[in-house]
Amino acid sequence: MDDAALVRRCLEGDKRAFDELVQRYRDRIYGMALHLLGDKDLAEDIAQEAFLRAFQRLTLFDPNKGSFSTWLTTLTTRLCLNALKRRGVEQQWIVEQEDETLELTELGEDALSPEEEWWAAERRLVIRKLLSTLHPMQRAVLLLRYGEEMSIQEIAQVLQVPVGSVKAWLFRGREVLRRKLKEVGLL
Amino acid sequence: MNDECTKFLPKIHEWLEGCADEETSLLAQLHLRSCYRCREIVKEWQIIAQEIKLSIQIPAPEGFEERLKRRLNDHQLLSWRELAVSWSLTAFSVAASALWFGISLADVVRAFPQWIVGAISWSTLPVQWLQRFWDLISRWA
Repeated sequence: MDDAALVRRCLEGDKRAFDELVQRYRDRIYGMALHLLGDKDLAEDIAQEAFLRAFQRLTLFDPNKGSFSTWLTTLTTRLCLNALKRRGVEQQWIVEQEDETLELTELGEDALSPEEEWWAAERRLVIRKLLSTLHPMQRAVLLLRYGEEMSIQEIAQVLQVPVGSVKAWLFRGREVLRRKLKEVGLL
Repeated sequence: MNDECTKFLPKIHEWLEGCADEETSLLAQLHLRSCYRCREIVKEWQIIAQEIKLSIQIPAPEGFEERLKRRLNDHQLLSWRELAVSWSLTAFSVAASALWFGISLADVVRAFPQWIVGAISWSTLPVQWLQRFWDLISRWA
């Protein structure tokens, strides 16, 4: 059954339909929140808040305007960015960035195994760490574009910023990741 | 990577993301055809995009759904409680207003005959004045 049908059933009062939607998206939403916030407890709290708000505002969801997944991701991203603003993350981000650079150097030295799979797993781990060192907006743009496969226009709508800013963050974010991965020999 | 590549990379990126105009797309493709280094960078970008896609899903902590269900139930319970409080307050205000209005209405009803008498007496004043005026004139005459 597709998402729109599940939403319809949920609006008719079928609670199991909402459970099914939660099951479908919980890992993605939690992953998104964790990537953006970098804190497991806060990520779980925000992911749950996103589902709670989705449940409360289900009548506002219009399948003709976009998919349920995009709608839920938009809710999550905005909640995460608000949480980051509340925590005054700008400052924290700079501190984290320095710490991550140190960890990354250590990881780079260890990354010597010839196994392809190991390389891929290692690269993924490093990318996760590198993502957390990016500015929250760059991180959000990269996750929405490549993780959620949203278009640049959609991302601009979600983040309520001009399309030009999204393009710039995307380019810079991807370049930063590429250079850092190169530095540690994972590309 | 030379200066030309540095200049072309944002254009190539725009073209890959499908948001470049016709001229930029053409320039990006022409540069890519002639530049091995930029082709390598594009491949690396693709790897990064793929890795981000693969790393977006992270298993939610154990008990996530149970905790969410509890929050949903609490929220619904809270909604009902809020609704009950709001309805009680509304009913109380309506009853209080009705009581106050009822008392005032009773006062109005009770005073109504006096008002009628007053109104009638006021309406007869000009006639009384005319009568007095006529009496005065008759006496003077």
